[in-house]
Amino acid sequence: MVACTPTPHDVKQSGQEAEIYPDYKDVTIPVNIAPMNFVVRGAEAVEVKAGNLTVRNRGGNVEFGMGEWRKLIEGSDTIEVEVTALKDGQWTAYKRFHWFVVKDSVDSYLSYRLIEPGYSVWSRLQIKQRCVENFEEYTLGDYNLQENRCMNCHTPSSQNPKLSMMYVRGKNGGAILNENGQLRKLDIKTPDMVQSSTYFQFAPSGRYIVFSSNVVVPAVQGLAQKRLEVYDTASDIYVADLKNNKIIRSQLLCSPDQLETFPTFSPDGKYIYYCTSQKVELPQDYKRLKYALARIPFDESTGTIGIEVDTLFTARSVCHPRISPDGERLLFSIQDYGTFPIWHKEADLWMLNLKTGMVDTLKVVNSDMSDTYHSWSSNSRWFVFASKRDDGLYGKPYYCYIDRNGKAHKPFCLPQQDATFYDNCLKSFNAPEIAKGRIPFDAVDVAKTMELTAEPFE
Amino acid sequence: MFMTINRIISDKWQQMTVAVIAIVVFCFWYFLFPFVPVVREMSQLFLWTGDYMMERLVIPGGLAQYLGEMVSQFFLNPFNAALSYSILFVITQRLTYKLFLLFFPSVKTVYCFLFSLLPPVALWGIALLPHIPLTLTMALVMVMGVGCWIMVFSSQLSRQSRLGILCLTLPVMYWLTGPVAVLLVLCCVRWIPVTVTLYAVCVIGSSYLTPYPLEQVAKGIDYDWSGMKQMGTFEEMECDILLRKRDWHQIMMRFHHPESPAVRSAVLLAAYETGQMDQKEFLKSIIVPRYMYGEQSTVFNIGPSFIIVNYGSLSSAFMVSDIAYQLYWPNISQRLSFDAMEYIPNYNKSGRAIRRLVETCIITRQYELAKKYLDILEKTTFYHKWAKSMRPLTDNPQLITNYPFMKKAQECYDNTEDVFFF
Repeated sequence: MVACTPTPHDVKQSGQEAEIYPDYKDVTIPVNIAPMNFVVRGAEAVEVKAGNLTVRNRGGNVEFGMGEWRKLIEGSDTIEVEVTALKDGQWTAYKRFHWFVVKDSVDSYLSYRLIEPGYSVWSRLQIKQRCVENFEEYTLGDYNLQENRCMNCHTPSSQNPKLSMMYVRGKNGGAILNENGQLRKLDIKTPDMVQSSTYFQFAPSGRYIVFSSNVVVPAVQGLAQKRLEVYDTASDIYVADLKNNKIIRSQLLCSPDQLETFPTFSPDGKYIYYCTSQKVELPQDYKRLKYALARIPFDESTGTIGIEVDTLFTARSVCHPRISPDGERLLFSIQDYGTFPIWHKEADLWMLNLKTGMVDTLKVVNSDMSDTYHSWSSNSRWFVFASKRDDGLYGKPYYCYIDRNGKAHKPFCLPQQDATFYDNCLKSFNAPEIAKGRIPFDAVDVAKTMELTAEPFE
Repeated sequence: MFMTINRIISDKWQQMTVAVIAIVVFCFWYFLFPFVPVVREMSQLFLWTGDYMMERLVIPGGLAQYLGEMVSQFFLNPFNAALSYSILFVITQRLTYKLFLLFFPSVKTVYCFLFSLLPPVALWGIALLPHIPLTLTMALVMVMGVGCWIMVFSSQLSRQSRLGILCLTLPVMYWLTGPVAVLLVLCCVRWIPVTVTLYAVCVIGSSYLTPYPLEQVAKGIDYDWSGMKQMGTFEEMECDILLRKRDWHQIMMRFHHPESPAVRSAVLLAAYETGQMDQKEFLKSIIVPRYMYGEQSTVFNIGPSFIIVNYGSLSSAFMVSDIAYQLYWPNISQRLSFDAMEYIPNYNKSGRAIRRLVETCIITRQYELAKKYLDILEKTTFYHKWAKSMRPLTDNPQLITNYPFMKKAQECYDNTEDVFFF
């Protein structure tokens, strides 16, 4: 095969950067990541030298073999990459770039929802998990086995694959709780809630989940910059005790004048962080919806919510606060207004240092398109988020390294075996969540669990 | 002369009969129901890529689906559709006739011939149902072809040898064509318990290999897109084909008392486009208060600060997309094209929808997104040329001035009042 592929000759040196996709130039990568396959746009043939590895191919696709990739990445701190491409009959060697390999591994698995970036109608929903050390992918939920019901984002507890939950919506739907591979179907909604559970997070002990109950309204806008505006007309926060099937309530989290949403526990379980906004007239005043970041104490030993609310951040509108497992940093999405950042081009990720109170606007991480919905790795060195930077519509998972000084590095897109995969993929990667191991159930298990009667909560 | 004609008729009467019926089939599709095959075409996006083919071949019946979609892509032109159906009619009839002769050699040929017309006529009727794709027809043709081959090839062999051939062929044909392959068991009637058991094993086994429930696998994954309502009414389909051609006069002539709000809206648009209604009257007629129902309801219902879009099927979604496009509402047109694809029962993409998404992306300056869609359309047969012609607009946006309608739409879009649509 190698003998049949063209080899460079009469190479012209260029100071320009190669047009590669995904953009893997000068990114920091973990030592356990799958091969960083990419495509050189418009190339008739290509030769890539990465460290001591050489790949030649007809066309622009650059694919590394797993074995040789492992040797390369485990033996290097910095990999210099040289791309030489044949275009219009001329070989050109482009400006070299680097891959900075860090020994801090990223947790091996990533789960995400694959969904058309549509409006209010959906089909072909799948929830999948992928091993990021290779290209193996498994299905956790499949529309074919769920009568095309909506399924919501699978979330593990503290990156633990043995404790996780996802929702299957619609008739006879419920929350599917995974406990060591055994699945339970839960009906967390009680009559006083405006809606069933929407966004949730586990407590570090795994006994509780904190969730919001939201009435979500999608509306199409006249302006394409915000293709869709999704807002809540009502939302409240509750805590569910998964051991005793009880709901824990607080008036401070169910205020009739406020919209409370996106709750999450602190890593020590002592606080619930969430977003809150004053209610406004909707839809006419939707631009006045500004969510602030707040927190309220929680006592896991007694299962009680505290009475003091601290407001931590009030600029613009905050969504999806998530704290790193080491408790040092809080990452959140920020946008001009509203509560659904994936449809806001200006949505970015910012990071709050919980010790110093300083906010890092993560300029190296953000793009001019929506960058949202993040999940931390267990070692607090990596986070993954969904970015629409390529075309403004189809979200893809991007990994970002935070070094020990708290500095963020240029993110990279989850590599695929076929580098042109994202070109042909007409689905968005939604709600990426990191896990330390393979989730021990599959789509058939979920389908069987759906036949059970849901356990009610008081 | 008469004797020559008589001899020709007596020798070739079967072929002549089939030819006449084929012409009738052609006329039926071309003149009476041209919109049904067009709906099939717009419910898919056939790509000449390995991935597209593999995606189909990994499920039972996948080859039949692939071939059905390959043929259906030509239905963009009603002439091609009518010709395809009449050719399929002839092929089905000849195969059925051959099979009857092989299975019932003692029966008179005239009866074999008459019975051989039944399956193609039945398929003709089934083809009128938009929710039955060509997969079933292609599967049947393939199974009948293989059945003929088995019967002819093994005619000199022992029954056991024929059984062996069938046991090898049946699982392969099941995977390629789906449940219709069960008809092959008739090639070895004596051993039906064995072959049916083998078939059952294939079906049950395939349900473990594919992410489909057993019931769906047993019925044929792509044989039946249940729910005709999703495709739309015949009235909507017929109006849609005229709306797509901008044939305003025909729309006004054909639809005097439309039942569908989408068709009613198309008639209003046709009245406006032909100058029978001024803009003010037209907008007042097409955007009606929410409480309007019955003969006055249209696709756009207005509330205090928002507009609700009414549609409930594939055809009406496409129609509303076209109407919104004509009204210089690219975001709404974009949404409806997107939602139209979600109505496609087997979750295919649509070439028509993707083309509209390219247009609206260019108007709204989402050039990277337009390029993604153009990459896909360039892998099709009939949208390929158009896609290549649009690509320069994504790199040189000022070229939109060469497309007056899109230029005007962009100007209107830039000055659009921010209104919510639900």
